[in-house]
Amino acid sequence: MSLWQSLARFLDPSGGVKSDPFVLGSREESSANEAEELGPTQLSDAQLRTASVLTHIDNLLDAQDEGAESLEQAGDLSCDLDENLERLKKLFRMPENKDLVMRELVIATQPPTRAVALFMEGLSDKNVINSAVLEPLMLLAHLDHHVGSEGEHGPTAFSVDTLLKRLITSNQTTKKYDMKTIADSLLYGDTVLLFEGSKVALAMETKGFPVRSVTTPQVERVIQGPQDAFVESFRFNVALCRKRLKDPRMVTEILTVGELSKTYVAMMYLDGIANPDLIAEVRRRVNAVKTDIVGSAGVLEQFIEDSPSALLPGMLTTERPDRAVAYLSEGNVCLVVDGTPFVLVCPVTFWGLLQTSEDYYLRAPFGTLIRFLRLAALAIALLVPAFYIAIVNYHPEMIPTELLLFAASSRESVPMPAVMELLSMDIAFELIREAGIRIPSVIGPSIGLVSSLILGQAAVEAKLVSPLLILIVAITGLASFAVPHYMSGFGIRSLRFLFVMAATLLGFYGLAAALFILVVHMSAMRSFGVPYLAPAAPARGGLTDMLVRPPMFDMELRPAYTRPLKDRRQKEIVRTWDPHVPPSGEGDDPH
Amino acid sequence: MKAMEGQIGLLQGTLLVYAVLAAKLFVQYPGFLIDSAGPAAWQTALIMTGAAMLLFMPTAMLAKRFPRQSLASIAVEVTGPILGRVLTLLVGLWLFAAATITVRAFTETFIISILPTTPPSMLTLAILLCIVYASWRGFEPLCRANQVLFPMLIVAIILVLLFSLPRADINRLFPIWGKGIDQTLISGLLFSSMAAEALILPVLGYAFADPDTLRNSGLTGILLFGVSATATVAVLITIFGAPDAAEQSFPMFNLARLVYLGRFLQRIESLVVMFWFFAAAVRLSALFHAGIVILTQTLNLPWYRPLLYPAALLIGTVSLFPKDFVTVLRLDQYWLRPFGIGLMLVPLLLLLVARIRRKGGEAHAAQA
Repeated sequence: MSLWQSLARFLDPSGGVKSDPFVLGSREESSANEAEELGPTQLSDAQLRTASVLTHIDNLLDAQDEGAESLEQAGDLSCDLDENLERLKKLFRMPENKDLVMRELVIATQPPTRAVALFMEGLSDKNVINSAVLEPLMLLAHLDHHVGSEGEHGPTAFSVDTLLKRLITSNQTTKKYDMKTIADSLLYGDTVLLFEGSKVALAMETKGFPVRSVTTPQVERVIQGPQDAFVESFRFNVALCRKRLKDPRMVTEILTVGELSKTYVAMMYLDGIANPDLIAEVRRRVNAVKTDIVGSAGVLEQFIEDSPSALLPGMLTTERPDRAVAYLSEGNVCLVVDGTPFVLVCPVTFWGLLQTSEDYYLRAPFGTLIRFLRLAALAIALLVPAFYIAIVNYHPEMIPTELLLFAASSRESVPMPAVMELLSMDIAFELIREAGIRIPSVIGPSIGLVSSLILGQAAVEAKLVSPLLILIVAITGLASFAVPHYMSGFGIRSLRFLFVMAATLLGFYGLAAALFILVVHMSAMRSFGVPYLAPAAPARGGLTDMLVRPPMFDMELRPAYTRPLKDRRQKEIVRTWDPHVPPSGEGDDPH
Repeated sequence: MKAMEGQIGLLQGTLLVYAVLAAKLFVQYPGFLIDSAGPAAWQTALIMTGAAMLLFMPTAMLAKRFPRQSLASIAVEVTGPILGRVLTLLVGLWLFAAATITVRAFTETFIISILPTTPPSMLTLAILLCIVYASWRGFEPLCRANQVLFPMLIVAIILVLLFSLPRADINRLFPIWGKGIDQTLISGLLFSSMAAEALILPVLGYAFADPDTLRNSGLTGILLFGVSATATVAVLITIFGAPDAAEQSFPMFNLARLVYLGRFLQRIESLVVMFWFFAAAVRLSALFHAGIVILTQTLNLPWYRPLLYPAALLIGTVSLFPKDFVTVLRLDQYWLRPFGIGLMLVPLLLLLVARIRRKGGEAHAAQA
């Protein structure tokens, strides 16, 4: 580009552009183009479906004389390997799509059999494919001899059952009869074998996704307790639970959600303890999810919870296997969503959101103490800013004289009304919090620290806010992080703004009205049929383990609100060796 | 509609009756009792409790005869569609009237105590929002909310009474018979209508698991209210003396103002009044919801929620009609309470007619 051209382009950047920039859907001829582009695709899909239906009908006709089992097994696979491959190629949009790998091979049977191994690049473990599928078929098949009818040894004739039983060493192998299940298997990471002359395919379990290894919890940290957390693989997560709950009654049902994502959801429960109605309801709700993608537990949660628009969560998410297992043992149902390092627990009560695993790992008095501390944190996070506004605006008589004078003098030079002052600092605090999460982890903490210090100090020095208010915002922010459940923290912060508005309008009266509405709202909420405020309201099964954490040996019964089939988890007297306990009262066997 | 109400247990029923009745102790009612019987007002409260429990018995018997049925359906079954509807409409109107007077009384309390410059209409609007929301949610969530808020209410009452005790002078309870035994007895019987609001239980009878739960809820709630009223009146008299206490519109608020917990924590009445709001909101929501249920059933409507907004607007507007608080007090003392006694006789009337016409009981069970 000459100097002159560069200058001309600098002066008129649009001068060198030959046509308008691309804007999707803006061209007049776009509809015609779309029709042209869609035509072959739709035609190809229709041809594929027609071929599939016709082959299925042929197979049904062939199988009608061979009994019910053959009829059930009649799929849409053809005996012609090339035809099957062609249909698969069309289904997977080959050759544009490069993910599907097709490995042709000849199995050393008598006579030799042509076959193709298919797998998805990146989803399958190639070492397993080599050792459990290709090696046996290509190298070992000719070594395998069967005893013929005349007592002579000879090479094995081709039979899918023979391959399955004698050659393929993969630990999980299933027969497939139609294209749809074959495609599903491939997409889940299996390797599929198609054979010349056979209407049956074999799918071998060869999953090999890249998976993060088990690490420490990021959100629910504890000092004294297990330090492993769930990861993105649902199988790992199920295993993490099962290794803690060595009971054959623990059931893991595999459900699939998402028309496109086909996400595995493992529904775990303890058969014989979890209420069957609860299990059926969870299953019903998960099966009812019909959408393209369920990429995370948070998405599934929104589809199945009772009040998705409520500010407080209707399900518990946990990244701790020990916590999930504890809930399972109490009769709850856990949902493990593939690709999410969090497990959903249903049902949950409001009080459950204020508890952590550590409550149980500490001795009872300390467990109780930190629960009350958390309750106080909840009250502070929710009410202190609104109290401040109510007192400053409507009820200054409540403040002791010295404090009143100090507050008045510190606010003397602040031009904004108290509520604006509070909201601006609260929003600044939320900004720091949000930015702290998004900023790269290397500089995140420094930015958070610097911004909070500088913002607070600068705001006070600029006389935009009073020092008292900085103190209130800081205490409130600190308290909101003491609420253990992440989603509850969001809810409480949102409610705090509403409460501030109510207190601004009508002081304590407005605050009381807002609180009343919140309590009524929470009283009306349910989580999978369980009242949200149980066991406080309705009072069912006592208030044990709601706020006060009783000693472990006194927690004899499972929570009544989940209506477990067996309510006793341990005998009435566990410390039988203790001279202070009465000698009798063995109680029923909880198991 | 029945499907939305859930099921009410003994504890929830008892606490609801108690909250609905005890909320009155924060406004003018202790003053009424002391005005009528002087230093013997605590005896009036005891007699009132006994009489109210007796008057509630026909309701319990009626509920036993017609288990899991609402007052409206019982009245129609026993006395026919016209008279039955008229009777239940009378009950509904009384409940709405009680709600209206309560709205105004509490609005005045809050204006005098903590929000002197706020227009009454704003306060009325806020409390109406609360009761409409609670009623919209239904009876079961209201009972549960009351169960959660109840400890705050009871703690607020007990703390105020306890912290006031150092100023108490037992001699103010004398003369022990007050204005005379006859006066004490008569006013006790007349004030038995203070428990007329317990009629919300048969109105929502279908929400109770069984008739015994309804009976026990009503009787226990009235008893607890009687105990609270007796203690409140006794403490008020020993602190202010009968003549002073009788003249106070909000004696409990004045009691709270006297509480002094040290130099740092003073003038806590604003905080205490906040807890009284919960009591007012529960009382109003329960009365309002019961009135709405009666209206829905009387008009044979399939769903109650469309009635909430017009009814709330009506209550809010009418509550602002009286020109001053004295008029409200007079309306309450001379109209609402006497009608309340008549109202408590409605279940008795229905019970007698049901027996004469052989409705309900075994016949009802056989029909079912």
